[in-house]
Amino acid sequence: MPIKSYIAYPSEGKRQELIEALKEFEECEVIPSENHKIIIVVTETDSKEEEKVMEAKLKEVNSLMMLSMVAGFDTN
Amino acid sequence: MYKQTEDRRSFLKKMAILSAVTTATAMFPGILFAEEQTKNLPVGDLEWKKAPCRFCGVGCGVKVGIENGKAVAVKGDPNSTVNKGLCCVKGYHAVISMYGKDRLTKPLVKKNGKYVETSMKEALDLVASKLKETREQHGNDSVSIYGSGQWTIPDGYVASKFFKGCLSTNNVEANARLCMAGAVGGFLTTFGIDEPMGCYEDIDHADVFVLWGNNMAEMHPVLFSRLLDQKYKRKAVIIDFATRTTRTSVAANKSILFKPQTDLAVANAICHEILRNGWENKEFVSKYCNLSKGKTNIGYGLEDKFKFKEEASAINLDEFKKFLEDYTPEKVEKISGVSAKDIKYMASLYGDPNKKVTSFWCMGMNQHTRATWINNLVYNIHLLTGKISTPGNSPFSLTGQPSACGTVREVGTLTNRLPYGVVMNPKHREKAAKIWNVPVSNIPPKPTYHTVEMFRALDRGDIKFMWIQVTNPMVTLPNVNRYTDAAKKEGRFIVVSDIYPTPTTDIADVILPSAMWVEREGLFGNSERRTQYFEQMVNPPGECMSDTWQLIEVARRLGFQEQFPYKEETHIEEIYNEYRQFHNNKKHNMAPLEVLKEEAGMQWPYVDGKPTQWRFNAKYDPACTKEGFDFYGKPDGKAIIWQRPYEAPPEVPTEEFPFWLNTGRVLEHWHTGSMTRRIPVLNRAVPHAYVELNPVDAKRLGISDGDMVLLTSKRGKLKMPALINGRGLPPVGQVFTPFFDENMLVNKLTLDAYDPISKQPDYKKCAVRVEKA
Repeated sequence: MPIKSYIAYPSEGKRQELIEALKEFEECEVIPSENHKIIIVVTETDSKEEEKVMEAKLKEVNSLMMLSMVAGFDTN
Repeated sequence: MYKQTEDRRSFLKKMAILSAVTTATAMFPGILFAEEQTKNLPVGDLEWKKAPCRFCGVGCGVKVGIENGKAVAVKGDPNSTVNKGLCCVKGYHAVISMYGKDRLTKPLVKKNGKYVETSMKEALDLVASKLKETREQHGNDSVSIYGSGQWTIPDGYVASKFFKGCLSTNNVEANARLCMAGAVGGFLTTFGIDEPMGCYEDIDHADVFVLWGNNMAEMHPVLFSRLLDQKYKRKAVIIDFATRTTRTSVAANKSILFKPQTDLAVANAICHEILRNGWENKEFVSKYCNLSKGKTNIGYGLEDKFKFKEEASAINLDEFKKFLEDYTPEKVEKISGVSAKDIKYMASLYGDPNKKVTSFWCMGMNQHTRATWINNLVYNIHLLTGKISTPGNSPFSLTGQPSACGTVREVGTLTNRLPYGVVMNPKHREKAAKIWNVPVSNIPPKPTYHTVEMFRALDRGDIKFMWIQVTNPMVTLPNVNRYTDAAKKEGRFIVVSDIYPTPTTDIADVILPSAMWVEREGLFGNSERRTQYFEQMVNPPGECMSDTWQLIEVARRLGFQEQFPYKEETHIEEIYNEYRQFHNNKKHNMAPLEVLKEEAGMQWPYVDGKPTQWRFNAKYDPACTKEGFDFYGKPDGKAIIWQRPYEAPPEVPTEEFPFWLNTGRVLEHWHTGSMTRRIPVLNRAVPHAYVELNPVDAKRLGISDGDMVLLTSKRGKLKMPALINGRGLPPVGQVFTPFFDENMLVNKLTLDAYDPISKQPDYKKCAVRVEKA
């Protein structure tokens, strides 16, 4: 049951769009910075397969410019 | 302490958030997050201890979470200026690699073709007696040790002291010869002293990054994140100059592809353009540079006992300009496939006095039969423009192993080296003998075998005993079939110290189980001259013992108690303090252990309580003895601009073998995969090797994605599945395969040619035939 945290960088001028897009995913907790464009994203999935699908979905978000992983845990 | 599953899950989620917040705070001072979202983040009852990462040479600072005597988690260390809290996919799974089911925990001795468990005492007795017997029967140079850039600093130090100082043989080598020797050759010939002048902080200052055959997005992902951050924050420009399209190319501002080996010609063309346009920094060149030329047509080391001796002679700038007339962008376009326009564009970036330029490279330039030359040529560009040793202006050779710099290059675990200087120099031998407490006559004045030649000597029977520690040469040596057969020959005795079974333990007569990473105390040194300490955090399993202590035990059995008097509980500190004596000067002074225990590493030269970020620049480097720049590795303080031509590689595609073969790594696996393949999530992500093909070639050969493909070179055959339009895209006429998979040994195909100056083999180009299997 993987849990991962990332720092997400929005594309130019698309911060709000990115926040909204990420909030659409049930598996994501979104923590925007109050004074900076970066956003912390925490994903929580039930299996490694779901995690893989989640990662693929994140990569397809157009307003996302870059995603840097910070930490990851498997609760199994 | 957290309770059962639900609590644990909630706890770990909060930990993940805390790690991200901490990292963001380190990267963006003053950054704020909504209070209600970050309140009650746990400190937790896991005990977090700092260490450098076990894997690549970036040297990320990590925190290892310890619970009930087991390492259970890793997170980036926000106090580390290297990674500022970031961690790559290998790093944060690192602790899992300690707990693979097939971990070696007992010594094994081969008896009648089968491995039999024994005690560590008996195994070490056997190693000592075989070592003694072989020396007595066949002489000092019949025994050898082969280590790696994963040796900790104390491991490499005691190996060198034992073999060079006590056993009187210079048969000491390490696998960094296969990955970093070209960089060392470049540094020594251009600057007279090894290791980068700059540091990772150059990333925060550079306007332009030129990546010379360096797929940083996969090989150095944390550093590449820092480059991308600068691209987005400051509009820094990234140029990917490579032989195949990779994830790095896609993320770069511009991808420029060149034909294998022709980086030599392109670098010369860039110099031609800089001089033709008058973009050179005339004052810098006249005050701080000399010009030289060396031998040409220098060979490739394909034959046993190949010898090369450089003969350098001075030239002037006009002669250099005349030489460069053969390298106009238009002429080089025909050799390299790089358009004259792109060559001029790259030259204009280097030539613009208002742009700070950092060049990064790694195996693309170093695994090259002209490795020293191409290193020289990139330095030429930086020296001509004076873009060196200042923040953001840096020619920067990255490393692939956690202590390739700290151990192999600084301790000097190569046949020609000593912890200070070289074996050929009587003063350097005297210094070593004094610190090592051995007669100076013990240290032979001549180097013996570099890595490829060492294994050839094993094949010939000149070497009969070899101790291999923390490396896997039966996967990594080029043309590996020859050396696997060599090790199995009658009369050879092979000892292998490792943590898992590998193709190298398969050829061992004795297998010694080693303690890994934070199961023992140690130090690594990374690419930016940063020395990092880690304490023992957990107990090693079974009878596992650190490589340092294995060597000490055997040395004592051979009667060298006086040279190895260390106490078990304090030996790392004693060894490090002894080693520091070699570098007790302003050019290389190393930080005291107590400082390293507190800090996330410290860069040498460490002088008056401060690290040195930019060497050779009097503004930053206390070792400089004159104003401005002082390249003090050379007697006159001047760096050398080298005249080096383009020369073709030893093997090129032919009608029979029409494809270039390039080999390398992938993000998920580190080197031969002996650790990362024991991490289930990484192994599932990339479970086996493959061959990348260009879709045009695949269509012509009737090969679809996943089809088995037969690769054939003059040296061997290999079947592997095709990968088409995967993460990498080779140009038409080239294929690429990663080397991490011991079940698909690509080095059965590669060529054991090497750079005659540095002796580094070339894994990036040989010729193969490609067929549907």
